[in-house]
Amino acid sequence: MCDPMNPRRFQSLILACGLAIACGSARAEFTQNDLQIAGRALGFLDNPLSGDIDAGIVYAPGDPQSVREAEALKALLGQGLRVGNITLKPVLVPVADVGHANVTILLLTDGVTSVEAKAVTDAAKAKRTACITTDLAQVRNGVCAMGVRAQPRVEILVNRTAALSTGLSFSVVFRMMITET
Amino acid sequence: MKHINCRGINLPFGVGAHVFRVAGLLTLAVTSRGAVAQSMDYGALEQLFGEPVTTSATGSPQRVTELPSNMEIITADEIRRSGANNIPGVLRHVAGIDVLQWTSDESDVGVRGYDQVRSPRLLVLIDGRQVYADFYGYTPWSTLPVELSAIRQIEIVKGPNCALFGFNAVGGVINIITFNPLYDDVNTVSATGGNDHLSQGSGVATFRLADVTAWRISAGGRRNDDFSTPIPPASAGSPRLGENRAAIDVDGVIRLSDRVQLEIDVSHTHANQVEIDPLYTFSYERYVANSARAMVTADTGFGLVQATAYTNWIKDLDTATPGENPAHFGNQVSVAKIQDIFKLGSDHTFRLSAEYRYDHAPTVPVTGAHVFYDVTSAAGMWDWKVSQTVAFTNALRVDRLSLGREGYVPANYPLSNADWNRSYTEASFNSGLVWKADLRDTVRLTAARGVQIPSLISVGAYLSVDPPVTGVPTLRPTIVMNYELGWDRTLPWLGAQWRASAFHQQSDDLATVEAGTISAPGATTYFAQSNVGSSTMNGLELKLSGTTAQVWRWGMAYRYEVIRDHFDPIAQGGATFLEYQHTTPAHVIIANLGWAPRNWELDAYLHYQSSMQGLTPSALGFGTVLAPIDAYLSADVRVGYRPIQWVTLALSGKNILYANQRQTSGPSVEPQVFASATVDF
Repeated sequence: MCDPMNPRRFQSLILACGLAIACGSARAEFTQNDLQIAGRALGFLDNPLSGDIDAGIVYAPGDPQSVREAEALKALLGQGLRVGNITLKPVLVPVADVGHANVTILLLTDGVTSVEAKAVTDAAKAKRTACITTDLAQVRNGVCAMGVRAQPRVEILVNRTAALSTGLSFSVVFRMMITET
Repeated sequence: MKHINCRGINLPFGVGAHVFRVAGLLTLAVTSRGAVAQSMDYGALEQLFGEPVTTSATGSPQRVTELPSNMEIITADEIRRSGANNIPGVLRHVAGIDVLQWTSDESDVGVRGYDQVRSPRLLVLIDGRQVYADFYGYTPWSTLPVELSAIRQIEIVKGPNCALFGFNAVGGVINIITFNPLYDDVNTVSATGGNDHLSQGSGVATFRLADVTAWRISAGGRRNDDFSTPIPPASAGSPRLGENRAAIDVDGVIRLSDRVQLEIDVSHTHANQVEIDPLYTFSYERYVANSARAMVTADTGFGLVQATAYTNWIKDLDTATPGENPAHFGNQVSVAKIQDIFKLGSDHTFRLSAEYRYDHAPTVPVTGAHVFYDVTSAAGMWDWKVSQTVAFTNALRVDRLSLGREGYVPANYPLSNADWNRSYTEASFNSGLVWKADLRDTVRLTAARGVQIPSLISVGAYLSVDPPVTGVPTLRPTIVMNYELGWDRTLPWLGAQWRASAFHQQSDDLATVEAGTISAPGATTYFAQSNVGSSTMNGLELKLSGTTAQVWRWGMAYRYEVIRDHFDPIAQGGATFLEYQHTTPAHVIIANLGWAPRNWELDAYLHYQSSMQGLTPSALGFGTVLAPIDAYLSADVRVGYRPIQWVTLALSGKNILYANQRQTSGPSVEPQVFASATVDF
């Protein structure tokens, strides 16, 4: 085993820790399982969605990572991903155009700056559109109404204020089983 | 069942009508809201969260990994692969569950020991409706009107949960949840045949009408012989006649509006079986059980509101002693309950409930009178998410029981009907602190107080003049305190879940039959029920279970438990039909291994327990003595094959290691082997 007091090993340890922290705060991209959870969660709305749903993938064109993530998410949805009673159909939405997008829900990718996030929030409020992300911090900040995460265990976080302002109302049973902020 | 479990409001007949009126008003009050309906859709929630969900811990819907109590959930898939053809056969594979199989069709089930003939400490429910029989305080499993293929999951709470379910949930709770016809299409028929002339059929069919109403009809029948192993001479009683069971259940859900559902459930069961009775004598029992229930669930602006009413009737014709007239036991319980579950803010969930229950039984074998009690209850639960990692749940329930007796009083009887005019108030609670230490570890600390009331038989429904034996109204309820520390850890690299629990339990004012006497000036002295002392239990459970490569599933569990009884001298050594210290094995190990490649399913279950003792009638003609039972290892297996998607052929074996094996103080059990064909449509 290593000697933690060895200077070189100590430096390596620090580097490893730094990488681990960086990984820990890495972008939380949508996975197929995240989309399944998001879609199923929408089935517990007081007015549940059904049929074909245009899912606006909000991304920052100036951020290559965000573009890459948006393209990956679009590929995941393909011609339409069926989850429960809905089929999610992808629509790429540059963040600057989010206020004009004619979609039913917004899927927020990473890379959107805090200034741009305000536009997302405003658009969700104005159009009473559900904003969903895998970055739970964006839910706590009130940018998105709902955050989902499939791994390592299923987590669903709903910002009550954001949900209220975008007209999202969930069943009593569902509310008791998720985390609200 | 389907929706939020509750143990309905229980009321006498007149009260029942009142409750239905209240439910109707509630319906009108909420139907003006639009939108959609949500009762508890177990299947959708399980798919969403990737784990079973339940309401049996606090009354509020919860994920199984977040419960403030120790619970095991047996899924429909596990039930099917257990190879069992009845519910005790499923339960015997569960860690922490003790099953005493007395005859082919009769078993007593306990949680963490304390198992005995007609075990009163385990409350059993189907979809929140009690099927525990109050007159004797036990569960006659064959009378349960449920087919295995209609069960979504069996929820087992270890330890008291009286704050949610009320009296008698002191050792644990088993809540059998059936599929909801509104959400789950279950259509299946099966036929089974085996040794001991076993023939069994079962069917479940679901019908839906325009998404407005859905109904499920399930029915089954079974016929078989009892074991042929010798009955201990001291326990000899009725001859071993054929055993059979027939049951039907109709369960309908009507969507009254987008937010309101009405559920109606009626059932009938007829069962004849060989049993061992509370005096450890063999008897042949003929049961008829009926039930009717209605429940309204409304998703309202002020929470999820449920109003429930049900009535159970059970008749038990006891033919214990040849040549004597059979005793006609009977019991009717009516329950009415209303509850509201709501969330305040983002971190506080509450449940408020009120319940009324009326319970009565005729006196036996002296007829012409009946003993009854009514219970009014109020309960509340507060689930507080203290932080992202800590949750603190507290539930409190207060029950007030009023006892009574009406009718014939024998000459020279030492009691009058007025002696039954008494009441008492008892509180029960459940507290749980859950700490999610990290993404893999959860620590759980719980404390609970449960109340077990004396059965109706114990408080006077049993009355014999010759010999003079009676139940008495002065029996005190048994109080059970339970403390537990649990640790759950997920092991992703192994695809496994680890669970460890240490527990301590104290039971005070335990009662038993014929341990005392009651007399009055100028009256005959009667043998009577009596409180005889206390018992302390300490134990440890360890369990590791998982799946590998998607086709293997495996598990192993170990329980160590020590019980110390502190009984009055007259009741020591098992002298008066009650003994826990020596009748609970100290060591129990269970293991299972399953393999499901392609169209095949192979499952094996092992059970080992250390030596213990069992009660058996004393050769002196009165009371009981302890008899040794050696340590044993038993095995159950099942092989299933699906030649086509909708057909399953299976061969199952239970207790297959030996031609006969002594597992109780009764007759040895024999291997039971049966083949089945199931068609899903």
